[in-house]
Amino acid sequence: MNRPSLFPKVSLDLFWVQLTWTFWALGIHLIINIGKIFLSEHLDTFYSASYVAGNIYMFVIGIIAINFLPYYVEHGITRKDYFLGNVIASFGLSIVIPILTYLISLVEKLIVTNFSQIALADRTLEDIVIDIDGNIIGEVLLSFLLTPFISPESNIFLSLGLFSLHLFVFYLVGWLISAAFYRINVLFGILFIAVAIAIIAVKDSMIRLVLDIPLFENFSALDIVPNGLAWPIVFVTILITIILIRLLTKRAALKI
Amino acid sequence: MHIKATNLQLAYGRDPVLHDMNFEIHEPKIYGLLGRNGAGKTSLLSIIGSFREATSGDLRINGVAPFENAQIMQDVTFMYNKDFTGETDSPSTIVKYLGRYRPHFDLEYAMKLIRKFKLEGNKSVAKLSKGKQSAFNVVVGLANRSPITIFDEVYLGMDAPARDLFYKELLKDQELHPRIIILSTHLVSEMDYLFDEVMIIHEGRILLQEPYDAIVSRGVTVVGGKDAVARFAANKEILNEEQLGDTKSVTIYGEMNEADRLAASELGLTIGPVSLQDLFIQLTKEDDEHE
Repeated sequence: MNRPSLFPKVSLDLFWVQLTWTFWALGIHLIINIGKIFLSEHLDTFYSASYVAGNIYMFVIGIIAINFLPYYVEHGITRKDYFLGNVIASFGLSIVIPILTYLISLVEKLIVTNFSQIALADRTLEDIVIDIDGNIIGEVLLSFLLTPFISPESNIFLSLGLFSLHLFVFYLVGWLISAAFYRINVLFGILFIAVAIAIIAVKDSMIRLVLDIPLFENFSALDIVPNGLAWPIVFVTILITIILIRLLTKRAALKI
Repeated sequence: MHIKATNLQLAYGRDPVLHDMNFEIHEPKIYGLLGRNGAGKTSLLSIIGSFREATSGDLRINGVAPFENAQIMQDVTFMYNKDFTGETDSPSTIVKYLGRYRPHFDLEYAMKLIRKFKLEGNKSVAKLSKGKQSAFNVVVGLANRSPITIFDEVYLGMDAPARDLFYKELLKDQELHPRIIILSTHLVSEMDYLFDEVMIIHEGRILLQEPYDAIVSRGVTVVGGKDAVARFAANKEILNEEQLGDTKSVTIYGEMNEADRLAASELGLTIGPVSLQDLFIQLTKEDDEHE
């Protein structure tokens, strides 16, 4: 008796669970954003404020995602179905979050511009990073947090797409790190943190190339990459990350 | 369903845990898996439950390797003493979702068990006492009604009335929905009546696998006057001795032949069955524990 494959069910369940968390996170972030109205005359749009926060949020829930592995195996689900299910769920989440933040941002804009004097700004993150002095740790950290940004006003689809891409990659690297900790040991976990930083750096540098945003000084060597290769490199980097997660979780033993 | 292990071995790094295990489980019966601490019970059950892979050898369920086999894994439930830290849902909320993944799950039965074990209410599983958490494991294991259901000492945290309730429910539900149930335990004397078949593992090896009745006929308890008992038990392998005044009871290992029975009755001795616990202790005695 062959039963239908379970990964669609797993992906739907994981999507809903993580979307519930996301509603909480968005709600709290919105409260903080609104709170800023009383403290500042300038306000980033909710959309641009979510750009950095969203990455960190996805990184954190990516780390938590490994806990679904023992949960599902205990309920008779294969590691493969868990893996496929969560790749789909996290991809779906990465698409939905930018749309949600954009919609919230539109409502916020409507209210703020009609009922207050506060100037709303879609700050490009490049404004913030002008004074970087070539310190490698500083650059790595900033490249981790300040991902290339396109304002929704200039190109809504590119902006949403880029937002989704960043969220997805941050989720994947969080998942990758926790999978390495789970499967192997702390030492490998730490090693995979370095791998994760490299993945983010490559992705961001390639996107900067395509968007004609200057590279960080320490990554300027990547300037030689032809623009036409940049997107394929981003795609391959994501694919490698996904494959690494699968390799780490494929035969993972449940420690009980 | 049936389970077959051939030369099954498991090592954690260089530390061997299971050595060359060979056994078969065919029928939907209750199997008692007995073994001392560190004998390899949980390791063996982890392989059957697809929690981990064997280092070498072969384990097959219905002729195929269960690990990562979606069809088989759905039909195997492995309950252990789980750490519920961080579990924010209540028992009744959790069981509502179990049917999504377990093809034989019975929600109505689960809710009935939740009431019986007094697990109702909105308290999260993480906040329940250890005993109640164990009871919740039992509820899930029973209500899943998986063709292969494994309980790895989940009942240890439960108090005596709750354990008794579990044993009764287990027997009742097994009668209605026969399946392969494997109970691993230390509580041998308390649970022996549940077992149709007993497997004893010791130091990572299968020591024996026999029907319960056959195992307990491997020895006898002889009760009578102390001199008569001493005479009868001379040259026999004694597992256990107890004395109260002039009355003595010895547990003897080995089957009794007709001549023995005749001699016992001439000496006015009463012969009774041996307890599984005494046999288990004797069979799994370490060398340095022998007197």
